[in-house]
Amino acid sequence: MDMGVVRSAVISNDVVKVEITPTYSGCPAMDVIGDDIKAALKAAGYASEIELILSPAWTTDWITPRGRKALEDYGIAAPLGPEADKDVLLNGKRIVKCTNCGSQNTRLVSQFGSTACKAQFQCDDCQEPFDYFKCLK
Amino acid sequence: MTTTEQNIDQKLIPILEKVSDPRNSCIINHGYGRGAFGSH
Repeated sequence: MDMGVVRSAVISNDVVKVEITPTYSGCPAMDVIGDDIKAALKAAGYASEIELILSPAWTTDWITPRGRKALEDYGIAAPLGPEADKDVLLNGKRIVKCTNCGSQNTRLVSQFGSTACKAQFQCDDCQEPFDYFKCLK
Repeated sequence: MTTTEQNIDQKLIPILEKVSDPRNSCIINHGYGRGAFGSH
């Protein structure tokens, strides 16, 4: 929910109807997310239907402050704004903070990280590799 | 906590939050450079 991927979840005729929106179209994680939601609802005694909603497109603005903190706590740098993102990804400016030590002495390793919505960074102070969640708007 | 555009039945929030837990989220579990997905 804090990622903004779950757009709605309402109970209708004893069935929970859940709408989810991918972070980007074709995200391979959506089937797993849907299955995880179905399993959690089933464990709580609810039948459910999952619907994939592509419009409006997901944006990183939908990540809640708690979601951003959860990302950072887990070791994924939360998205900066769109202009800062261009500076970081295209001009190599050192703005993204290392999620391990907090240093801004970090560099882009790859435009794509472990998923297409993230980029791979490394901290030049503590050497920790980490993902940066790209700004999508 | 939800974004303003979300429409989530209050009764379902505790259930869905379990799925949102970073330790359970497949979005995040693929992170930290050890993911199931590479550059594409």
